[in-house]
Amino acid sequence: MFKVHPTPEDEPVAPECRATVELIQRALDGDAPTDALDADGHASACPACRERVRAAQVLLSVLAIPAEPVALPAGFAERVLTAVAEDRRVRVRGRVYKTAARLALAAAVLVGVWFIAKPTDPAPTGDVVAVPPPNAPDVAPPPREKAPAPEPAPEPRPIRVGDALASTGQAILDVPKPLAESVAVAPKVLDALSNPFKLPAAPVTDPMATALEPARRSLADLPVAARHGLEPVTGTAEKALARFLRDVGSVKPNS
Amino acid sequence: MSADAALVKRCLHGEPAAARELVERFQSDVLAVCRRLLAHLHDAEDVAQEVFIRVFRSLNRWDHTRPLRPWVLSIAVNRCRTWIGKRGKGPELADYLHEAPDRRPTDDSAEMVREIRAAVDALRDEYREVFVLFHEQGLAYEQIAETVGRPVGTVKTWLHRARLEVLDRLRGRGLVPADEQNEPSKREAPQTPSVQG
Repeated sequence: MFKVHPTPEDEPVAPECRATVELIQRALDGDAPTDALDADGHASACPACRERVRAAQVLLSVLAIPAEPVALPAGFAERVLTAVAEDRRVRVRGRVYKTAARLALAAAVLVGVWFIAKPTDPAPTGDVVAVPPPNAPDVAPPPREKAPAPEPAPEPRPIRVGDALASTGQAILDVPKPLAESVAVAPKVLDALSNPFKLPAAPVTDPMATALEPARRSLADLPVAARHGLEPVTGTAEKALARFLRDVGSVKPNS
Repeated sequence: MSADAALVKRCLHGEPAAARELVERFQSDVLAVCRRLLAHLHDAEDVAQEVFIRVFRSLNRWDHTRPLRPWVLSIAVNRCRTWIGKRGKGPELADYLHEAPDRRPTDDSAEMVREIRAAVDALRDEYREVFVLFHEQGLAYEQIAETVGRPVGTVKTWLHRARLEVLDRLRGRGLVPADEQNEPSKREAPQTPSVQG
């Protein structure tokens, strides 16, 4: 970047000339009067130093000319102040954006940390339905004693499958009329539904009635067929529901 | 509290009048330094504007126990260095001479002023900085040392070398009054007599 210039040190300065050069420097520093240059004895004998002294006197005379005030461009101060104000606005805006970005990042980090470090279920049995032994009686066990209610937590607890199933099972068991009885009523409901299809007895003379007789007979047989068809289903459903209620009741709450 | 410190405090409080006062107090010096170091009028104005932006950005870091002017000029010198670095070349003397107004256009010393300016412009950047700060801005060695971020001894060395180079240029250009009693300068190494073959 800098231009390469030969330094004055590249130019040999005789030791006897150094005092004169020092005097020139002090005069240019303002520490020695300019008259001292004229009185330098070595300069009168050394052509190079004499020329240096004369050049220094020229330089001193030019530097002594008071500099004219710097011509300021019109409106320079206003332009500067406008630029400064704009720069300040930009920096404030940038700071706001940076702060918002940092807050968003911090929130994301916090959420991530919460997901990573949140307390896990103490035992896997909380979410696993206990399987009864094969020779266990096919009846629902008595309702378990309710665990002491946990202390109210400051934050809502996450939903746990074990807890939800246990409370659901308990609620079903607490129902005054077992749901199994309702399932047993299903054939009667089907009977009631099929009643409207039963037509009153009519003479067979009507050709339309004769044509519809097979359909009417099928509809009349429908409740019986439904009863016979659904009987195993209802029986199985009863057994399945009873087993389900028994299993649900045996689920241990995990907390 | 010094006047500088009071002014800076008002600026930090966001007083527009204080900001204007600061700009008006230093705009001449900053522009002069930028013009002399960059040797380009338009560049100098752009850089001077940047200097004040930097000054206002950094006001809270100014050491209130030190004078404000050298600190402002140090920012100007640094911005000029950066600008020269971006420009990738040294000051263009011809541009400067075409654009810069002469101080003494009709005086007999005008040519000498131009020659000295040209000599200063031809200095390497560090030398030119200390020469301008000392002889044109009137800063002391210690202030220049703070401004350019170098020890006082280095600043003295640079300034002395800068002066000798300027003096040599004046001598080399024949601008030194002739000595009636002596031969012209023979300061260069003794010339080897040419051998006639």
